[in-house]
Amino acid sequence: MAHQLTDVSVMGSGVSEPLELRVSPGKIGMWVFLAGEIMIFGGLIGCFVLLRLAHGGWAAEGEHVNWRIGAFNTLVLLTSSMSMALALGEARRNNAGGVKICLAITALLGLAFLGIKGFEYSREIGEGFTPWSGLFWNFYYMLTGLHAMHVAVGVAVNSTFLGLTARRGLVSTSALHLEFAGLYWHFVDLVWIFLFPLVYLSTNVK
Amino acid sequence: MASTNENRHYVQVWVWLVVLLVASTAIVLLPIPPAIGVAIVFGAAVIKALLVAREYMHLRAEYWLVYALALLPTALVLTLGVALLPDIAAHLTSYSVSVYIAAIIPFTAATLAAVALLNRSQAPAE
Amino acid sequence: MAQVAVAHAAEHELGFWRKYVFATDHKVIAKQYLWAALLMALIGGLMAAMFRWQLAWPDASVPGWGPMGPQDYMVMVTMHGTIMVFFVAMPILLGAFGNLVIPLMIGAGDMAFPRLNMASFWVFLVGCVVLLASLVVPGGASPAGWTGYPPLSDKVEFTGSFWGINLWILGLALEFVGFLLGGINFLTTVVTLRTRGMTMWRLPLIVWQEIAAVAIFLLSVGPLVAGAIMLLLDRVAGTAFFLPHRGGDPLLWQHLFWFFGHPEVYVIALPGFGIMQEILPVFARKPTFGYRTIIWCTVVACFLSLIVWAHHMYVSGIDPRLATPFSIATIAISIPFAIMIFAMIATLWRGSISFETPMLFSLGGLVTFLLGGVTGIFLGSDTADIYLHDSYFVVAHFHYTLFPVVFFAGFAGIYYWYPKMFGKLMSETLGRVHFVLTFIFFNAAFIPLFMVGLAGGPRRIYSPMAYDLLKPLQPLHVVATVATIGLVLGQLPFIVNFVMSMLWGEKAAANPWHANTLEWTVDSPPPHGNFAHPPVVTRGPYDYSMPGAKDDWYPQTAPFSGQPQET
Repeated sequence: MAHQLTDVSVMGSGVSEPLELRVSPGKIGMWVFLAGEIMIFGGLIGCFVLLRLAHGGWAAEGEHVNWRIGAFNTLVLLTSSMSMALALGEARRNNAGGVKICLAITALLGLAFLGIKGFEYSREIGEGFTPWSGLFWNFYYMLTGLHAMHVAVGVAVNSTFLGLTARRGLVSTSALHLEFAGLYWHFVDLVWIFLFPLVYLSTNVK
Repeated sequence: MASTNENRHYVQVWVWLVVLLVASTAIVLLPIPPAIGVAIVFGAAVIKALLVAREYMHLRAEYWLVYALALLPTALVLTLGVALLPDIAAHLTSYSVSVYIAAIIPFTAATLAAVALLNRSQAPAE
Repeated sequence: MAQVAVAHAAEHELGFWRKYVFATDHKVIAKQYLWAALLMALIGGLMAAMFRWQLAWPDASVPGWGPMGPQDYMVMVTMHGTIMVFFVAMPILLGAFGNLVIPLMIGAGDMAFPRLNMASFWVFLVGCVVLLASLVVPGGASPAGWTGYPPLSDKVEFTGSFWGINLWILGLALEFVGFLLGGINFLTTVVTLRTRGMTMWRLPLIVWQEIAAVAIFLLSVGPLVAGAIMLLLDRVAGTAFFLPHRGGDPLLWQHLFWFFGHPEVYVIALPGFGIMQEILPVFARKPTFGYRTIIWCTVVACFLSLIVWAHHMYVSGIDPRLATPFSIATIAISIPFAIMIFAMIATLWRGSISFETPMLFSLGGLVTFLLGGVTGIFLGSDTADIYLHDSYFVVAHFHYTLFPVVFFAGFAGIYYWYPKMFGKLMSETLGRVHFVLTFIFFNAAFIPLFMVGLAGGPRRIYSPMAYDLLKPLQPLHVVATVATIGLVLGQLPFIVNFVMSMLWGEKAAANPWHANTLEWTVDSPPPHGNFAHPPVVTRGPYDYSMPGAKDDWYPQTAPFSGQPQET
């Protein structure tokens, strides 16, 4: 017995348009997800900082990470963030070619980041610094490893969008979906922005 | 939407991010006292993070709920960290020191709120 | 919206698998959660009866099990806690009722992300299977307590359970992922898919409580996920995050656990309150008292719930300077809850109350929760807690807060929405018998435990005869155990009622309780896509017994006809 609402006059204050006209469900959903992610990474980073403060002796272990490689990797990730943002700009200009180029660059830079990180891991393990070599290395491998997993997911998402754009071109929802993918990718970048000084720089400040 | 300008803006932001990266990395090479060096390094990281969040993640002009979703967990993580300081990190700090540390919470919250309000007032009408 | 409804109607003819197993319809997912939760509740309840048997008749043979050693006892206690909190309370209150009522009550065709919703259930179900699988792996399931404190849980040497605890962590992680996905869905749906006229201040209270609950779940679970990652790495990768002799800190886990663990209590309590707040005005035929006050109290309680976690840790060796602020915050959080309780009681004041089964369970929940809330004040104060902590007083308090919101409110919700879920009415007689048995045996089981705790009986002790000072308390344990067994057997009328009504129950009309909210404007059970046309809401949800109105109820969609009321 659904009500027939043909001639209902909606009176009174507070009758508003549905909110979906103002902000898309996908964006709210994405930000709720990111809020959860902030709490996970925030919790891990918080533990790292707290235990770091509790034990002054970590700096010695931290000197063995290579901050030059770290800085270069930061540059790679920052650049990929820019190309992701540019992909959105190109999508809004309805330029499918530009979107494809930008997404390809983003995905390749993401892969480059993972490759460099893998090289770094193998180098460190070669020098005898394994994930169980002490509290600093515990945290180092856990934080960067979890971050690398997020990068891998981001590369997969961006590649999927690249494939979709290549196959069917830009559709009406492309820019919106690209924005959601971008939010995730920028968040991954943002986590690294904090991991870089925490893991690499603060231990190497003379 | 003027997307050419938008793209130029994205590149400008990237230039700033790289400048900050170079600056914070240079600290390692310069003979600067560790306390100041660490402060500069993390200050640069915070600015970089704000730039990415504001420009690339479009927090510059967003619906208020999105702000809440970004700020609430950030404030909460800071609260958690500060609340755990006396237990996990600073067993020996005196009471007055922990009070100062605890004062960081409202200070940080106020700063974040101010940044958010400032952003909103500057937001272009979409 | 209209297109969405049409699209849903078009895919009405789905195969068996898409319709009942890999379903994206929120109503089917709600039922899946309900079935899973009831099954897990049965397992958890039987475990409780088994370890209670050991406490009443130490070292006697437990029927169907044989003599229970200390390891089995610890496993049972751990699994009972884990199952009941994470695999019963959350799926019933959030998974089942949240999924069922949110889209219906806000006038939406489905959740914002139906496929995510399906994923949420299946990830949760895999979590259930993983947790149950931990019972049969070599080394046995986790005996480390439902809080999993390291160092006990950190190394296989300490418990003998390697895969058991690993699977315990994995099962919990999957459960968290499931409810994270569900939570994203709940929040997004309520924010974006409300129908025309459904402002936030016209939402039924249960919708407010559900989104408040998932909001604090989403905000609090992150650090525990972080902790779980570290604990798992400690166990399998040789790290030392929580091992003090290698630089780690076991206290860190307690902080991370309770940073989530305390809000988790409110994740469970708020939807339970929401169910009671939905049912009380319907059966009192009165507008709810203090609608906006209740909502603001919920918001305040949510904020406070995030900064009270260390009151679980007063005896763990935390910094005393930390204990006092947490003590103050804990006492403060009782204020919004007290206001909510008073508002619920005031809703009953001078109503024309009828005692159908849902109302009986709601009132039962209200009364028992009061006792739980009041005893919580003792535990929230750090000085009193140092005496009472880790005694049976805590066990009794905890069950007096969670049993009302999970089982009393949960059963109330099942009896109330059963017609909407399955299209059949349940038997009132069996329902009342079920209520009387549950109410009597629940109180008989836990009041003795308050006494044991006040007399100094510590919890988590395998044999209550271990110390001379505990021996005089033994008769109280016998009373509690007999009542627990009665409580478990007292659920039989419910099981019979649930199954029989589904098969042979009387067909339910669209609105058997004469309630106002939107779910009662559609058929029982509602069709796929819920609403033929998006409803237009003209008023708040609790306009009962309005002066000048023809009936004593006024659906939220009823057009204005010269009536003056506006909430």
